This record gives sequence, structure tokens and C-alpha cells, in this order.
Amino acid sequence: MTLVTLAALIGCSGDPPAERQPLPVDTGTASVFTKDTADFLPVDTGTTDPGTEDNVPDNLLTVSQSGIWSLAPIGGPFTDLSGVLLVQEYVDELDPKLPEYACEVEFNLTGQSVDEHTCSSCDFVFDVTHFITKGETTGCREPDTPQHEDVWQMGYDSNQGALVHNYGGSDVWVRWADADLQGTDLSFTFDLVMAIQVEEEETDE
Amino acid sequence: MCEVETVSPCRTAAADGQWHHHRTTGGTVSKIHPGILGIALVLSCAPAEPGDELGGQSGSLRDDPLELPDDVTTIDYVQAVDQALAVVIASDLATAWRGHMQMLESGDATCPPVFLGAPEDADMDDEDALSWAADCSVDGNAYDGFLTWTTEVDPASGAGSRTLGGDAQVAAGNGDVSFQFDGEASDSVVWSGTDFTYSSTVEGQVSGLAMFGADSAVPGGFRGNVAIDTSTAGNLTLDANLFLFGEPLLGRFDSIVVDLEFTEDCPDEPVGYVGIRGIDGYWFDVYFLPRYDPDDGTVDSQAYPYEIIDDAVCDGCGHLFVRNVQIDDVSLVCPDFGGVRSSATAPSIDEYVLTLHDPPWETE
Repeated sequence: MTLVTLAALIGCSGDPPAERQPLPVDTGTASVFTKDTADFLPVDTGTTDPGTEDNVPDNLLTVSQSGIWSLAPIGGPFTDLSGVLLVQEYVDELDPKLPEYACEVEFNLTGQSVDEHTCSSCDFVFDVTHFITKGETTGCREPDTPQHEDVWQMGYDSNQGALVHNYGGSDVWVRWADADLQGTDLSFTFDLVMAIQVEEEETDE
Repeated sequence: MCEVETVSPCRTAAADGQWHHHRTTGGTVSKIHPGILGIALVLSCAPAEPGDELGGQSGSLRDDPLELPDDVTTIDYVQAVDQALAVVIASDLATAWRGHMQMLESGDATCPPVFLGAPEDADMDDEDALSWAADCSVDGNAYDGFLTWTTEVDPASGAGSRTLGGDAQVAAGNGDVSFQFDGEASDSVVWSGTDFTYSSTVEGQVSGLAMFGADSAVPGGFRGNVAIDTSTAGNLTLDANLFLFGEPLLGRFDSIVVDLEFTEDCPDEPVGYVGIRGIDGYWFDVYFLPRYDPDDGTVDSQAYPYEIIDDAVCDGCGHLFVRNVQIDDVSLVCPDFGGVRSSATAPSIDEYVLTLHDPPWETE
């Protein structure tokens, strides 16, 4: 035995080693896992998977955002606008006799034309300021519902027949609503129906 | 025998009279020399303390030089490291997001069903999130599982951010996996003219032909975690730990560990190291500039072998260690860091714009 080994033994003296568990008995029936894990994509069996069958929501959200721009001066080119926007949302059914909206907000709109902008397809572009005159947006689930005093850069694209929106001031112009210009009145509407996850309220039993 | 595994840096001795480094279970590397044999052995079972010159517990005792792979001197390490870094660069959320969008565009109004809010039992609380949860097929594509995501564009700064989480798979009609994502990821970008700052983290499993085709740096996808921070100002930080699916790099390496950071002091060479694991299980590590001063005496500083690299200078080249043994028979490894830095780009802001007014999926 060398000094090296002796030193190792001294260095490791101390607590006795834990008692080993006995090896399992070889039954001779063990099967070999034949899948090559380099190619096989294992399925996560963790607890975070909520499954699918019960997780496609049963509820539907109906969204309507419509309004009108009154443009001036008559004959153009337009430099000013005033208008209104009505946002309404409801979940599932709406009782026509006693409509109860999850969100119902009325806005007054004012706007000034923008000469320097990045919308190459727009007939005209306005900075539009939103003023809430009735209701509140807290119950609105459509993520891009305007807030009080939001100023959005919006344009009219006659080729698309649509209002377009400079999203978040990013110079990415997104189709926002179907639009129709008649004289100095530009009417627009956006409608959406999509599934929605509704928080279930806990009830006392 | 003393066999103690430890996550702390340690030093032990080898009987061949050579300095060796060995990776402990914590992935650290330590120095081996017979001159400190007796003391090292006696102290080898003592707890590690920062500043303790001898470190703590020993990872192993060896009587013989470590066996090295037969091809250790014939591997093209520059190509291997270049490919490993290309994999890391390609493993950002931007890549996974493009696959995610492609799968949404490939669906129809009912499959996968997109809804507002997070899946009921998912550990998320964001009612503005969008999600799909499905077990359905359309045009031969089979959607299974769930995904939930958020996007945000800040009007004030023009910054974009987004998150993606879930456990979902989309298989093509021929059985190929078009898209697979199981995990969580987020990224953010700030653009100012042509300048950008971008950061991305991905943790999980990502694969599929929608993102990683045959010409991709990651043809089979990956499992692991990747963090990337970069900007046009010149900074680039890569932190990754990946297992690659499919064909190994150079037919030889199936895992990657990268801990690199370019600093202002040396634009040509980062601090940190790149590790690639051979299919034989051996790690091949290339150490660049030292992340820590080896004379600090801290646990972190002793976790790297820089004390035996005597020319760690800003020359764009690193030293090869195989099985934590420095390989002198192989010349310095000088990756194409210029190419790496130029390939670290950022998504444009329009990739962060996703509204219900103009979604990429069919709504009717």
C-alpha cells in the first residue's frame, strides 16, 4: 500500500458509510427501451398540461366597435375631424329587451390631419384623440380598446375600404375596421366573435 | 476509497505527475498536481469555502491519465464551435415565434380554436393572453395541446415584448413534426432607427420543420435553455445549455454549453467558454478570456482552469480541454466570432404586432 492510498484512507475516515440497499433481483424479464431518444420526442407528462377537451372555452365574446368621422372642410383635403365611437361587448347571449353589456363605452373623437406619416397606401391620416363620454373600459376584454385621452394615428385606405392604425406608434399599419367614405362622413365598424375564458365566480354553498 | 461528488470546485492529484482538470458534478473544473497530493487528500473531504486555496472535496482520484477519445487531434474544433454558436443564435424566441405564427396561419376558424384568456388549468393569470387548446386536424395538420401568448408594443418607446408558453405539437399529415413547443419563452426588443437592443430567453423543448428546416443550424430542434442579449452597440451575451435532437454536430456532438460575453475590453474575443459534448459522453471545452481572475481565490474563480492558461490574451482564440485535460497537441481554437456577432440580429417591431383586428388566423 502506498503512502498515497494511506493518505486517502486517513483523509476519508470519519462517519461510517451508509448501508447499501440490496440490488434488485434480476428476473430475466426486463425489456429494453428500444426508442432512440436522440430522435424520439418525449411527451411531457408534467402537471402543467391542462389537457384540451375541457379547456376550449364554452363562452363566446361578441365585440362591436363602430362609429363615424365627420370630416372637414367640405371638398377636402380634410384637415379636421370630429366623431363618435361606440364600443360594446357581451358574453354569450344578449337579451334584446334588456341588453346587459359586459362593456359599453361611448367616445367623442377629435382629430387633426397628419401630413408626414408612413402610411403609403392611405388617402389621409389623422391623429385621433379619444374622450370617454359614457361608460368605462374596465370591463372591455378586447385588448386594444382605446383608453380615455388616447391619441391614435389612424388613416383611411380606400383601396382596402378600411381604417388602418399605426399600431402603438410603431409605424406598423394594421387594418383596424371596415370603413366607407360618403362625402364628408366616414363610417366604420369592427365586429368580432371569439371564444373567451371566463373566470368562474366562487359561490358559497 | 474516497468517492465524494461535489458541486464545488476542488483540486485533487493524479499519479502521472501532470496537471489535470476535472469537471465535478456541478460542471466545474479543478487542477490536479501530485505536489499537493497528501494535503489534498487529507482535506478532500472538508467542506469547500470560498477563498480556500485547496478548494473542497475532491471529485475523484485517478491513478492513470484520463483516457481521451481517439479522434481528439483530428476533430475540426473551429467548425464545431462555429456550429455550436450558430445553434445558440438560432434558438431564440424569434425563431419559435415564427413557427407559432405559421401554425396559426395554417389553421382555420375552428382549428385550432383561438380564444381570449389563458387555458383554465394553466398556471397563468393573464386575461389578455391569447391561447389555443386543441385536439383537432385541418388540412392534414394535427394540433394537439395548448399554447398561450402575449404581445405588447409600447407606444412611448416603440419597444416590443412577448411571451409564449405551453405544451403543444402540430404534426403534418406525413407524420413530420411541424411545430413542437413545450416550455416558456419571452423576448423584447427596442428599436431606435437602425439600432436595436434585443434579449430572449427560451426554456423548454422546441422543434419542428416550421422553424428548423434541413438548412437550419438546428435541424432537429433542441431541449434546454437559452438566453441571448445583444445590441447594435456591440454587446453580446450567450448563455445556453442545450441537447440537440437529430443529427449531432459534425456527426460527433449532441450537447452544447455556452457561457460567453463580449465586453468592451476585447471586441474580438469573449470571456467564458464553449462546451460541446461528444456522443461518447466526453465534454470538449474551449476556454476564452477568463470570466474571473484566477487569483481571486473565490469558488467561482477556481471553477475555471485559467490559472494554467498562460496566454489568455485578446486574440480571438481559446484553449481546448477534453475531459477537463488541457490538450496541447491541438492548436488554439479560433472561431468566427465576427460571423457570430453579425448573425445575432433582432426581430422587427412588426413581429410584435398581433391584434384581434387583423389576426393571422382565419376568423370566419
